[in-house]
Amino acid sequence: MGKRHGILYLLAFLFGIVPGIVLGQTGIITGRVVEAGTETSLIGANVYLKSNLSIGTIADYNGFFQLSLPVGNQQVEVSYTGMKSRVFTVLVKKNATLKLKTIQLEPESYTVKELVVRAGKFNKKLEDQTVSIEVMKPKIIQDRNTQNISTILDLTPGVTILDEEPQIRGGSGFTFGVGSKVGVFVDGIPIASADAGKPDWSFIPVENIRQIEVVKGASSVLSGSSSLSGAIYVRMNYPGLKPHTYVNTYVGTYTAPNKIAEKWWTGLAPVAGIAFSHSQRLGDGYTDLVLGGNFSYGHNYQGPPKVIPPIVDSSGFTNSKMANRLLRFNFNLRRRSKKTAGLNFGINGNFMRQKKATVMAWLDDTAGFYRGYPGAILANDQFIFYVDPFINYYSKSGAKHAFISRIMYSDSKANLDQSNKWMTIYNKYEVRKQFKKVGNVDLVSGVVSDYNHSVANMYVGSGSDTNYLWNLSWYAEVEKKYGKVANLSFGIRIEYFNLNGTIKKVKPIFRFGSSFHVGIATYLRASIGMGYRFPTIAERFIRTKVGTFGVFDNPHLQPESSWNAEVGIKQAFKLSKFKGYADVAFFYQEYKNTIEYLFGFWDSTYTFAYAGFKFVNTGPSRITGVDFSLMGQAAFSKHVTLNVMAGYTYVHPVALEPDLVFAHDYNPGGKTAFSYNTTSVNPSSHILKYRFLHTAKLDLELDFNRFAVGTSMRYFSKIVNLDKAIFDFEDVTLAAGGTMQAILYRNYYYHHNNGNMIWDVRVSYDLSKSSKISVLSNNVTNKMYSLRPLKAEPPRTITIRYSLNL
Amino acid sequence: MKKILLSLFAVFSGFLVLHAQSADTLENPGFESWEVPIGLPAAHPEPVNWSGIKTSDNPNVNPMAPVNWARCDTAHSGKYSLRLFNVSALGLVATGTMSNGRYHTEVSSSTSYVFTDTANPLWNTPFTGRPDSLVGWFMCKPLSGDHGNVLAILHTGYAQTPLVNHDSSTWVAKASFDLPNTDVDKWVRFSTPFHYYSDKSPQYILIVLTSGNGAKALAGSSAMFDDLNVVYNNSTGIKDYEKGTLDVFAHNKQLHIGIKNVPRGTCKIRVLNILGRVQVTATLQNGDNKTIDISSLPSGIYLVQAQYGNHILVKKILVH
Repeated sequence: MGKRHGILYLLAFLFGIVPGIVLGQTGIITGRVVEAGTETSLIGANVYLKSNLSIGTIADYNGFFQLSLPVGNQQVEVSYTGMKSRVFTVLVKKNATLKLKTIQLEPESYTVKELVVRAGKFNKKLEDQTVSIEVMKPKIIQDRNTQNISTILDLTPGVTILDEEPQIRGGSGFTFGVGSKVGVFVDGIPIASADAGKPDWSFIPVENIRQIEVVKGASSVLSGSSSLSGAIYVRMNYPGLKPHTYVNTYVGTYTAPNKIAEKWWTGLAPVAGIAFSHSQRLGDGYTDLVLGGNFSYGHNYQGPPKVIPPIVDSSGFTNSKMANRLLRFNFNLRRRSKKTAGLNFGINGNFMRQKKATVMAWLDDTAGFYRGYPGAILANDQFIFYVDPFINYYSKSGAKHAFISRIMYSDSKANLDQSNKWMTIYNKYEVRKQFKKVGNVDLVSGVVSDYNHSVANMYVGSGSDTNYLWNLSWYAEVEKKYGKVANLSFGIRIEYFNLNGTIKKVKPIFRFGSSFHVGIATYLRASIGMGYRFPTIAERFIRTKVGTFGVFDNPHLQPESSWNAEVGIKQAFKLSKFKGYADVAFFYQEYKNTIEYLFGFWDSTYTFAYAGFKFVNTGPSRITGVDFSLMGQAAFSKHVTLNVMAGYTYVHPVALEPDLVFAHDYNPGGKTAFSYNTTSVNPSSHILKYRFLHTAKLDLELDFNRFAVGTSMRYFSKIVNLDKAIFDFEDVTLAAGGTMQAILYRNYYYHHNNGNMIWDVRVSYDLSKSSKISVLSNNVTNKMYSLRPLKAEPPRTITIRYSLNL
Repeated sequence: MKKILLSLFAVFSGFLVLHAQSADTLENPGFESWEVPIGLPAAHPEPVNWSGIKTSDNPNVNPMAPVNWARCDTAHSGKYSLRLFNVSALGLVATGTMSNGRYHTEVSSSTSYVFTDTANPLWNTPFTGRPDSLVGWFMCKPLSGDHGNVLAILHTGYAQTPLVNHDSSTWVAKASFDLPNTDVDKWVRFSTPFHYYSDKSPQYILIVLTSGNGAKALAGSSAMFDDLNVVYNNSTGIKDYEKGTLDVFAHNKQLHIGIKNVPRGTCKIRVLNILGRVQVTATLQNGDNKTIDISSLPSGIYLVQAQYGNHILVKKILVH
């Protein structure tokens, strides 16, 4: 007995005394988190100690949680995506279990800050993410009278929209939007066009956005091919407890251009629109419905060409043909099953008809700054829609199964031989589960089938006008928390591509991420990840011509790849009345086979076209840099608050092998060897083309009582390097002596492009609790500026807006 | 390029007149008349009866083809002369060129040519004489390794140069003069003989002036031309030997000599004064160009004699 009792005593000592030391100061609270009204369990709701964010847990399948806390009065916060967070004060007694009443969370209003993001595969708080993520909330989207999310993205630290083409941390140049190197997702599904991988920003229902999340750095493992340098997630709204109606109307005008540019229109250049969204729960409260719509008219700030004989413009554009007209309707319908707990299913849809004129190059750099170059205006009449059926099921074992699908179709009639029809059929099955027994390991895994079908005369480079690209992928990511301080994640994705049944490719890619809670409100993260992008149908097979110039196919184009490493630190802080967080990230990216759109004599016989553009793989490059952002709010009193969002990004993008010859053309004067050096305006810098080394973003809004005053600033340093072909065009068109419209950029580049700082301002007044009137002016200084070579950015606009939130 | 009004005139009346006359002179050889053809801006007129690469028969290329000629106020006689210059565009060099025929331009020089369009009086110059030489005045500023050229082809029916998709069976005679590859900044006369291939009477003359050496032309070279003419009688009374070509001109007390179309072997060059006394001697091979310093010679008329085997070529020059 003695020996056995000795062991028992020893065990009793270990289990009794040791826990006594740890738990001697703690007690336990338990409770359940549900949605107010429906009593639906809020699976995964965050429950944590306010004074020490490292102490927390999440609610289980039935919404139950248990949390060990230090004794005494403690403030506990409960949060959930899309719900208003609640804070409780509980009295924790030593070694006792306190059972709380059921905690009901209400849907949040637009103004509540939201810090839970889904851009990572797990629904986590921003500070727990292992990658750099920026979140744009509905308040700023609405307050800025955003008509197109590209304008709000352009305000996001580290993101630049270069003539509709997204750039993240200088990770891409400019290819007229074709083959975007940033993935764009609406409700988790890509929205890029099937043929060219180009996101259409105007198609995203801006009136109904819950929030926008931007992941910076190679994100292919999490987000799939195309997310080479980052990904943008747009999450749509679902109804809360109360019906909500939002109406936004605006009317405004472009003002007369500044300085030497001609005002080509007479009177006003009106922009006007009306948008609405309505969300409510139907019938028994288990059916969610959201309806939204938008109708807008935009007098273009860019006018038709005006040429001097003997130059002829046969495009037939008139002032009225330059206008943009848009009609969009969207709905979200979701049913949460009454009979089967944890089951919901539904269908989302979005339909748009749009007529627009896109100016690809300005007429000239002075009087014709806001006019188009003859033959360089794309007129488009497009009908596009998607419908997304989906089923989500939370099993009793705690697993979430999701099946989401999208059928997206577009029929676009355009000039310049650009008409096309395409369809995407996207299916994804995903399961996620938390394994508590093996130490709180989260697992997510899924299979995606993304089939893209295109019918367009311009893609006959494949031998047919009908092409398809099928992308099948499997991915898995595990994330494990080590105590309260470390969070490690590892992801793998295997991609399979099949282009027209002839070109097939398999590629595995990996990522690893970690975050560390190193101080009370200090979070360190480090990650490394691979990126991979398979060229689109357009990049390989486009074969079209305008006059004697063409765009040539390149069936042998190779996929682009990248890898990205970063370390970042996020510090939440409170400084007097200012509360917020600052984030600094240092990043290192390498790219291979980057695809550029280069001009040359690509036809050996000069029969299809003398010369033109072609998508070409180029040499390796490296981008290093630092990204700084600051977000927060200062509450001076109950009625006076200041919201701040600021960011600064420095990138150093360099060509690693500037002499590497990656292509030859058939220049009749002798084959041209294409390298970074021979295709650059400023090769000695080694800086990649179309990159801004310094960008800064700022948005400030001061709310006082019923008034709000806000301003936004964007700063872009001068583009250091660009395609030499632009200067060659200038030389050729000038040498032609007036029989071709001169393409003028050199003078602007050297004398008027020393960085651009653009300011927007807004003032609003709350007429009542639900209605607001605002006056906004974008580019308030009426700066005549260009970011992408040969593309004029808008002059000043003045808009009056009335919005209603019921 | 000829004006539309002119062409109408040619069709309804002048055509008959032109055929009734014996055509043995050049049209607008002094570049005194200029016009703005349809499709060109006022700033870039062409000499009447001449055309360039922007009025070619390829409307796809014309608008983007570079302007490689200009009306020049520095003339040998009269008011204007023609200036040609080589221009680089997209890595290609467009040689400055002007012709009394018509251009067929492609981006590749190997498929581009000049031709006499017999069907359209706008693009041909009737010419029925059998002159001895083509003469004219020039200045030039070539880049090192480049030189301009004057080419005249007397022919029947259709003819083109260079021969891209046609042969030279219609050619009756050819005269060609390479401008020197050194700077010439004063008006200098050139004279180059016609080499006859047949006894036929020509119907047309096709003249092509260039400021560069065809496909080897370098961007930046330029040349000026004025007062072209054909010469029917050898004013020295000594007939040039038809089997070889001796190109001679003097400028700044430098004697430029070129010899072509002679058999292999050494060719003796002698410069004789008007009394027949040898002043300077040199040797040349076929195809050679040589510059000889003649600063010691007094101004006057000299004969340049090239002897190979039993043949002698003689040219008369005026040394200032």
